[in-house]
Amino acid sequence: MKLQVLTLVLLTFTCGVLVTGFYTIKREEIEQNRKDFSLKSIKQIVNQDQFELVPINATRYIIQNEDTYIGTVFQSTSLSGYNGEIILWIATDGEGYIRGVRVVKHKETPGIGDLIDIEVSDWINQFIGMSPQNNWMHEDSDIDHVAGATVTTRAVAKAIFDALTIENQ
Amino acid sequence: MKKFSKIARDGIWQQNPALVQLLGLCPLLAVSNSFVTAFSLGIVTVLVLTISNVVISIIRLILNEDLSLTTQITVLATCLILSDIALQAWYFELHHRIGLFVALIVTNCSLLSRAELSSSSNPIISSAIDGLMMGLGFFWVIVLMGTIREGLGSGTLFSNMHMLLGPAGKNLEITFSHNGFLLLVLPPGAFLSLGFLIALKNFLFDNRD
Repeated sequence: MKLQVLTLVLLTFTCGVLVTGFYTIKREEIEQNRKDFSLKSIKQIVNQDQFELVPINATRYIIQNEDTYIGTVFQSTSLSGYNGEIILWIATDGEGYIRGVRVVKHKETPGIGDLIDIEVSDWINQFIGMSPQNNWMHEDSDIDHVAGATVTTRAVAKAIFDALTIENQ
Repeated sequence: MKKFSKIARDGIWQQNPALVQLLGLCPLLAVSNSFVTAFSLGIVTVLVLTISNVVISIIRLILNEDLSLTTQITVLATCLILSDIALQAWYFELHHRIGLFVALIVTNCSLLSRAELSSSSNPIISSAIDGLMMGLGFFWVIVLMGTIREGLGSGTLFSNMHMLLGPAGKNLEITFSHNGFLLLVLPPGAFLSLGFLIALKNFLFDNRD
């Protein structure tokens, strides 16, 4: 009986040490990967060759080019999509115009609603250069809402519109 | 030698975990919507199944049967967390896609059933071969389903291979059509294609004896 208990204790201990040890070794690499992954999509939407990102908090960065302020990039979330939350990163140029938008996380229907993802279609790029004055929630605006994916595209358009309106105030 | 070839035949065909035993369907159905995710999850399953079978068949020499379930779960969970961390460190983008299902392999009954039926009563080598063959049996089915669902559902093959192979994988994508049969990529398509595969196997090789 003693042997049994001892072996079980030893086994769980070894497993614990293995997992903790491996995680400790790899932790920095994983953190770095996570940061790179979100920075990658932020960098794509800034639409500028040279810039630095100055973090204000985890969901907001200031874009600078040699100490000159050239815009802000921030995260926004929409809950009115078809399936769970849609997380977007929006970059503005400081005068109320959009530098670029990316959807970084969504669970919209594959093949229908996922056209908001840049890897599927460049629908999201039509917001570049727009400002809330373009009022794209209005029926005859320049922004295409896609038939079949009405809920998804309207959710994204509204999220961008609202976020920008608040941002510009 | 004869014994080993029987183990191999059982794992890959006769007692195939996915097509005959119908175990571990959750990851099989959820991850098989593209080739690259199916392939990666298949590899992880083969590795974990083989390693955990070996470890369990060593430990069984010391522990008695009452404790076997505890040890099996501990060993399986450890192997899985290790592979999960490895994926996060080396293939982060891939982990983003299949990460949830890697953690779910621990509840994959095909692993637990192998641990219970094979490695808890067999010597190390035959447990290792059993794990490998059962893993391969799962592997070829999930890869086949991934190929069918991606090929017919989205009209492409080997898309997003860069998640696995780095920048070199970007050129591997083959597109034969821009209008796929969408239903196959959606969850119902998983059930349909698995159903058709099982039906086809039973129709061609009627071996329910």
